[in-house]
Amino acid sequence: MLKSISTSITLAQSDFKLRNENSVLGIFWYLLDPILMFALLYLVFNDRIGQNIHCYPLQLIIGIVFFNFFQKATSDATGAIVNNGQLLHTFPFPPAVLVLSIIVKHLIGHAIEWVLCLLIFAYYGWLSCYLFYYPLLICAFLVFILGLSFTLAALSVYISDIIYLYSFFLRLLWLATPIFYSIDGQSRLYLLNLFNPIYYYITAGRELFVYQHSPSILIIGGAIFYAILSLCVGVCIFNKLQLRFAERL
Amino acid sequence: MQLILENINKDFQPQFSRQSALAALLKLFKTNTNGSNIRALADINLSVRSGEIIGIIGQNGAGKTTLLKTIAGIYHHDSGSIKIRGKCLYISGLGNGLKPRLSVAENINLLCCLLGLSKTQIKEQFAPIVYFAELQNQIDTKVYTLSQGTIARLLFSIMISCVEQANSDILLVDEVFGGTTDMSFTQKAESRMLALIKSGCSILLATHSLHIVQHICSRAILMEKGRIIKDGLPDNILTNYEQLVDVKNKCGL
Repeated sequence: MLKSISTSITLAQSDFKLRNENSVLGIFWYLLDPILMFALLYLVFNDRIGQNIHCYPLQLIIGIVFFNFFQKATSDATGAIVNNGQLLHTFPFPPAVLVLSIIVKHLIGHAIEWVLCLLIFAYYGWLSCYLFYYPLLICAFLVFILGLSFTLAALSVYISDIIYLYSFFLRLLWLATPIFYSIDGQSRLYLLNLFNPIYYYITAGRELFVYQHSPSILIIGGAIFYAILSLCVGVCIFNKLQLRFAERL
Repeated sequence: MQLILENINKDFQPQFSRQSALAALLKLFKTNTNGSNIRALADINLSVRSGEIIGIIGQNGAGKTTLLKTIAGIYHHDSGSIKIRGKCLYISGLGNGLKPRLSVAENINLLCCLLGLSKTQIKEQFAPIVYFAELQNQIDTKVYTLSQGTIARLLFSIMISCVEQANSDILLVDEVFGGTTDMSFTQKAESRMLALIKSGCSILLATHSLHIVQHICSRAILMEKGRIIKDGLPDNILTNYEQLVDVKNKCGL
């Protein structure tokens, strides 16, 4: 287990270095995406939607940063096994290491984006002791992302168009999740979002860091439930299919 | 016995290809699945004693690599049992793990890690690997700028250091000989390889190089169409192999 984690970290470091090779902006590329997205959504929606939302800029940046982490990690994990067939043929290591390495790589990216979040929090004078709950929240979110990544990585070995289907699904999810709008008073949207795992993590983040109180039992329960469900399903599917990965690629 | 294989069978589906989600869905309702499989390994029975060096020979597609990968756990066997006593290490074309845009140092870290060395072991082995590959002045050089011969030196040096450090009881070696044209390095590499072979671990060596089998193996097996058709002393097996190739050439197969 420890060896697998160590291998994942080494692979993630290599990928991280390769991605930032010869890049003048370096790690600032990681900030550019959420900054531009934040600026655009803030400019477009602040006057109409944002006026009715408490601390709209903070809620917006939390939504963007959390959704970005989810989107980038799971999209990249879809190709984790398929794109590394040669490695699986050559080195006898558990294929799960490849998925883990992608999660580690995007966790580094998320950490950089979280610094941006903290800067915006500091700018608005909204830093609080509730920020210490961030590691707990990110752990649950990470487990959820890991489970889904295992599922996607394993299925993509057998199903060629999963990456296209998933990117379409992500676009729908981006619109269905209350990132730049609020679902207060909209019962149909609220009911729909009870089945949306991302809703729980983003809402928990907002309640902790913006409203500065503990999230409701429903939000905590949902975040834990979806994390465990995702991990169990992911591990089951991955374990079942991984026996044939090397010969299928 | 260090390794016992009993009735190992392994099939490949040559017609397998990744399919669209819709096709996968439709397949659920299809009762007739006409999948003609290729038997890659058939009724393999093999016992390897401690310290034995076994050469596996056979023509392309005979099943040498599949056998080694199945023992290593890279491929999953369909039936039969594999009993391994001790640690087993599979060594093949390490070039697949090389990242040309990374430096020599970064590649050493990466490949050693993939071969199972711990952080401490990598730290200890880093200087000897660089020294053996004669790359002391090129640690920070990107690998894509190196010549093929230099890359082969680097890969051999990483491979041999990892194998020595891993303290494996069984070594599965798949066509890793050759690659450099530098005579002095070749001699150095061969003597280190021989020292490793004499260290007492069991070795299964898949190769097309008959003189290697003749000179370093204590036993050889001949494979054909996924089966072990002969097992015995290297000289006898090599004669059988040459006869087999002659017959095939005469028949135009």
